[in-house]
Amino acid sequence: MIPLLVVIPLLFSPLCVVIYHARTAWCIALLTTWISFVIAILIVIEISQTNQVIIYHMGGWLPSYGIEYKVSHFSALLMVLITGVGAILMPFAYSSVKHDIPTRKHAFFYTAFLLCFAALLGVVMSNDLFNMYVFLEMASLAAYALIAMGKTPKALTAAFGSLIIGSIGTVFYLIGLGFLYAATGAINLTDISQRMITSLYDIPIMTGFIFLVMGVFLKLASFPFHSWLCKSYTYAPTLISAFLSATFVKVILYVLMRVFFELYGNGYEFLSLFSLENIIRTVLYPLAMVIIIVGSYMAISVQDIKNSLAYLCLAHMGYILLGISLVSLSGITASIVQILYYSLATTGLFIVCGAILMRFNGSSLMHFRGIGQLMPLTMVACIICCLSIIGVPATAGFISKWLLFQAVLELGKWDAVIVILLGSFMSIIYVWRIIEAAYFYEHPNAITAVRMEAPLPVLLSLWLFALLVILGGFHTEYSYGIATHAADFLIGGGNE
Amino acid sequence: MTILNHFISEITADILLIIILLIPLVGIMLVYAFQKYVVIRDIVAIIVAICTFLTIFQLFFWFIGGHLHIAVSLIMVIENLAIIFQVTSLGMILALTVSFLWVIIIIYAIGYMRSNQEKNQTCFLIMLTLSLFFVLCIAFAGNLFTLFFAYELLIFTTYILVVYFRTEEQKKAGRTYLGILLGTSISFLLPAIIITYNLTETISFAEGGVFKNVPISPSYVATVLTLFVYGFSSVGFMPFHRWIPSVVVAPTIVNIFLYAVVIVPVGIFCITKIAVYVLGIDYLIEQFTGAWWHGSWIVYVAGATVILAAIIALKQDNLKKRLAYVTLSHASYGMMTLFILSKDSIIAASFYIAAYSFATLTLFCAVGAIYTASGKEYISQLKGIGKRMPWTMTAFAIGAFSMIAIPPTAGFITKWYMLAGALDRELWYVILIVLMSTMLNVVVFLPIIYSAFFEQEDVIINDHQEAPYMIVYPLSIAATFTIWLFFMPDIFMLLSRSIM
Repeated sequence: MIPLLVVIPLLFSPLCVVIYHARTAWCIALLTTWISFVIAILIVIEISQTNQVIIYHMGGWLPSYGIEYKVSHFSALLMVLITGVGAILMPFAYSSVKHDIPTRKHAFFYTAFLLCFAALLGVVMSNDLFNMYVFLEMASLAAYALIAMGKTPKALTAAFGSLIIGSIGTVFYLIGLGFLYAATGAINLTDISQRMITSLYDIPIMTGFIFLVMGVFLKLASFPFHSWLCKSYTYAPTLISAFLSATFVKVILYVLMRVFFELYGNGYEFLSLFSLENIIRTVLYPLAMVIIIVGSYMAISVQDIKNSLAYLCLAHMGYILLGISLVSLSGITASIVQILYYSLATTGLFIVCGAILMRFNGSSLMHFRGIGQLMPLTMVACIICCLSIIGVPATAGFISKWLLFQAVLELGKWDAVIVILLGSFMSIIYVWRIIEAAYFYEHPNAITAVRMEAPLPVLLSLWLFALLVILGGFHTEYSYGIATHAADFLIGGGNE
Repeated sequence: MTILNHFISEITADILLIIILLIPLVGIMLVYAFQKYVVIRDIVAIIVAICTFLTIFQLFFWFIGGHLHIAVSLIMVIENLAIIFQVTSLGMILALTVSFLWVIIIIYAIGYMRSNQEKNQTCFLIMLTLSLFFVLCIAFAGNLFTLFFAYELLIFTTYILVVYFRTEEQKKAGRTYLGILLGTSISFLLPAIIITYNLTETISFAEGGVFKNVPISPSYVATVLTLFVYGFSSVGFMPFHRWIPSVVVAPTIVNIFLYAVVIVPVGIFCITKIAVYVLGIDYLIEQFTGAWWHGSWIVYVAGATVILAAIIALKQDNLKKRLAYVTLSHASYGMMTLFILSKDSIIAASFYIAAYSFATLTLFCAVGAIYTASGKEYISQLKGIGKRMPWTMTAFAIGAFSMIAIPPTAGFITKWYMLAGALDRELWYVILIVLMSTMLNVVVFLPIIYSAFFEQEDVIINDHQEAPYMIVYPLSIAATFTIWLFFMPDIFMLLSRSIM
């Protein structure tokens, strides 16, 4: 059942071009994402019942030679996230893509989208560093193409910028992989991590680590390299911004966590001097805090909401990295729950942006004015997502914030507490600006404007996310419950 | 009928608790359903208020009659993080007070809105009822999570009321209101709760507090205490008091609501609850005997707020603004009473929730009545108004007497117990502050009452009489009960005494 998740979208995506009909392409995408979603849910249920990783060998070839697929709790969660976000976004895509992209390009668009979708799933389930690289590159290339399809010419430059930085990242990743292969003679993740402990080549292994992590960081677009990401999210078609923000960055974070904890977390000591824990805590911990502050601050200082959402994603990346950098069970659990929960709220907000773009051809704060009256249903869902971003109880955001606080306090890191509080405070301001514009200002042409609610498919997607945000605040058996298992697995160096 | 009887006999205290919480929600749906039929809608709103009060009264009898452990656990979010409702004596005081005042305020609100012909009355009624629901959730909260949860949602609901008519100044006031209340609750209260959970591994309330057996340094506890006290900035503890004077620009009905029924009493309640059931009184006494910054600073700040706010109140000519500062002064007065930390003062503090609410409600209802009948907003305009509006001004005087603590009003009882507590703990400066505040309150209120009853009107601008009966009746009832509480404080006293 596992390879089906990659195979189905891979097979269906060329079909879109072959048939070359806009509506049919959408139908194919809808069908594919929902089938994948169902499969992913089945996998999660199986995993949570048996509590064992599922291993599949591609073509029957055993590892060292063959490609190994391995689905742990963590990857299963990510699968549900990717397929779920894709599936729920599809009704939104119906209206949004029609608005953003000329009809003749629709078939290509959905092809690229499904390719990206399949490749992201591939990264998540692969247990082979090289195979991971291939899928990562595939996802990135598809993503660049998708970003470039944005309405303004600026989308092209944004896509080109991402291509440059992304390619450098990939090269770094590949170099790192090369070093590791030279030192251990393996590309299977489990194999490398076992062989590196007894390996005599310490310097290549360490250099490999640096290159791998640098590569992943460039791809992640974390703080010093964030400009291209923010530009792409601003100018890309809204569907793509929503999808990539919820999945692409999260998948890279997933790769980062696996590199840290599964690859190097098996008791390997760098030059027999530092442990992995030391390195992560000294380097990643301050960086994460800087990212939170910078992201939150930038989010409240720009006028365009779509742009500010990109910065918000950056801030959220900071929270997730903070959780990782604690290198504790509760910290990693918090990070995993955040990966799931933040995606819900930000995707919802991107959809709101898309709806506003569709109706008023702009997504700056000016365009939000007065929409409380014009688009009441959209705005109520928007408020729910906003509350989740602040971390108000009864929303998913509260749970993730609660867990992160717990994790931070457990280690007595007061500086992090203050940073999280600052972040929350800025998120109040952030949300505040949206709500104030929506409810307290008249729409520029209020007299002529009648009620112009977003199209039904958009509302459907938006409200599904909003309901998930609320559900996430109450029902945590699947998110938190599985996340603890996943964290346990990672902390244990990938061993059961 | 027999089926109904059978059904009623089946109801246990736990189910009754859930029914109490459901009534406002059902009420909201009914009010929404009848929005086209104004009369039915208003009657439904009043009936819902009365039903809530009666069921809470029934619950009170069961609670007093021996059902001491009434608790319902609803949803478990994460381990320990559950939504639990539980009846406690302190919660009962708040629930009884608020649900009783609710009947008064809902009638008053309907009368007020009708005579001022406000728009969107249905939505307003729904928001009012929704706030009642959240206050009941707070009153019956069984752990810190539920308390926080309901408190946050209450802030949002009341915020909508503050900015309800969307004038420029209301938006500005709303910004201050939400900024202060939400900001402090997210950045102080939430960390406080999480730290508590981290130290004690529980977020539920316990007799004698949960910190008893945890070995931590006093300065650490001082931090937690500070976070808790400033987390509930709805009591307007300086320097987070700005919201109290700023929401004066909202309609009077909303002022009544925030100052007398919902936000301020809830703040006093929450801090009392945390002092008694989370930190624990004995633990706090030990803490307060340490350095000043370990805890006793709270009494200093509260005392300073009491005096400063009363002095600022003196300077205000705008009647509502003056009362707002008096409210601020009295909210801190409640805090000061609580943190004297003797047995008597705890009784005083919990009784104060009721006494304060009744008196403030009377005062603000009177202000609303004056505004509705005559359009007067300034104290200098009030000369001779007592002859035109005898009922309203008498009620105003009674409310004022309760604030000053002149018998026979509810305020006197609180002051009596509070002074007893202060003497017990030999806190002389508290007694000094109380004397000063009494004097200041006399200076604040007596001139108004004097000029209303004994001075002549300057020029007769408009010839008005009493406000409509829908406004005068409720406020007379509130005034009556302010006096009634002096003679018959049994219900609240019984509950207050059973806290310790």
